[in-house]
Amino acid sequence: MRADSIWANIFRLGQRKESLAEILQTIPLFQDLSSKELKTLERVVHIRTYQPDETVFVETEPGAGMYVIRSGHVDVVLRYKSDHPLILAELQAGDFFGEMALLGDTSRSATAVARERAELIGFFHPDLIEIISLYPAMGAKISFGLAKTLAERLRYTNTQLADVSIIRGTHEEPVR
Amino acid sequence: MKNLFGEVPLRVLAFVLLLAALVLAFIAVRVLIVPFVAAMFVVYLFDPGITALQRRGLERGNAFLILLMIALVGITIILMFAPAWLRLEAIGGSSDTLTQSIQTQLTRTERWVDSKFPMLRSVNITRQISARAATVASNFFEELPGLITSFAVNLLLVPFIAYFIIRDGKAIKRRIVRLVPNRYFETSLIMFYRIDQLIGGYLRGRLVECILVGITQTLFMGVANLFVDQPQILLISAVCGITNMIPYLGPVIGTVFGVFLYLSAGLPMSSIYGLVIAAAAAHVMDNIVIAPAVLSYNVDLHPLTVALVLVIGGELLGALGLLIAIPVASSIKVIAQEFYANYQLQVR
Repeated sequence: MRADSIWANIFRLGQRKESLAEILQTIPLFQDLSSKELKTLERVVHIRTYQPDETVFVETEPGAGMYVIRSGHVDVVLRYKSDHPLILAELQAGDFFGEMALLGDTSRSATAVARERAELIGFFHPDLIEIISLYPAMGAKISFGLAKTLAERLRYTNTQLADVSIIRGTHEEPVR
Repeated sequence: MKNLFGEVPLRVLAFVLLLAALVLAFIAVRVLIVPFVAAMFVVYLFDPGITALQRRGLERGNAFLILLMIALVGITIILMFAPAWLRLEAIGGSSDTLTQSIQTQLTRTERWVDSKFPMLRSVNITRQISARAATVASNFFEELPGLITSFAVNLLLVPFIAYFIIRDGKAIKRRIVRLVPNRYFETSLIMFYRIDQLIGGYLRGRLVECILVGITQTLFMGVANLFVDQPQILLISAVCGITNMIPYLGPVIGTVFGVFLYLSAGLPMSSIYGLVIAAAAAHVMDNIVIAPAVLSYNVDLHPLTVALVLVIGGELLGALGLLIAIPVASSIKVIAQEFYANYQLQVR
């Protein structure tokens, strides 16, 4: 089962380039970083390879951070092990997911599964803390990018909720 | 084909070689475990300073070398221009004087006990203890040079190991994390981070506490020096500061060292009382003011666990094992707690 939801990538820009720094630069969190800062980021991130049907992370388990897809496809699935799993999004190279866990102490709200062999770039909470501690200006840029991304996701959710409310006819006037 | 060793099968030879390698590895690890743990202390103690210098563009290894230089120069300046009341002058001590002083003191104590509690007269404490006192005194003086030598060797080895941990530690950690299977990758990353934070906070807290206890004891002994003779203030305070790492027993061990030193130098009892009062005051200050202010994260070990861990540490690694036993046990407890919390979260 598939769902058109907030998990669909609203930041997708088109064809991706191959270099690590170039891929990272297209992600809204890292868009404001200089080329020197991107080089620093390259040294901090983790490259992980996943086989087809291998889980990247599991729903309800503690999350450590976000992933950027370098190659391959990843599905974000709700109730993955149940009889009726719900695919929230099908992500491809250049997409990113799990950024909420960068804030720390959150559990995953869905399961991410590699549909085919996928190479992911992982950026995690401890990495962000280290960057904030060592390179405060760079840390501020990433944190601001993260805030902007989450705000964008929230705005998108609000729009979707409003649409659902209108369709169901449950739209109510706000209490003043 | 007959092998080089006649009838001995090669498999037995390989087994013997493996066994020899394991024994050698154990000896090497045993020898290295104390400086390695001490180096970890140094790493955690220096880490905030290194991070601050790294922010200014310095490489981690160089930042550590600069901070180490500053620390060494600072200690040298303190020792060179130490105020007279710190009493750095050598006090001539011998095991004979120590035995004699203990005997005199015991006789005096026994006489006092006999006068107050005549029914205990038949126990004859002095004769029973004085024989043991002689052994204790000679042991104290026999073990002291060895202890100082091993301390000095470690003192040279620790910064060397610490430098490489600081320079390459992060890269090594990344390599270890890279080997973790995907399924456990995020969990291990979070656990590494939390354990690092908790152990770092705990060890830094304990080290700062020990340094402050040492300084407090120096000041209290300085005050005592105004009234009674208190030589070797800096040495005794340093030992008390270091042994403070051991909970419950640490302050006692440090004070006993000072008392033995004073008894061996044949100093009057007033000096010993002064030392004991200063040590007790420093301990009270530690419990009331220093520890609550410095220890943001305290790993509470049950007194029985402390005793057990100290016995194991002492048995395996001697006097230095006593020092590192508690921090190592506390670190293991933090790791176990983190594993358990993580397991609970996954089960839920």
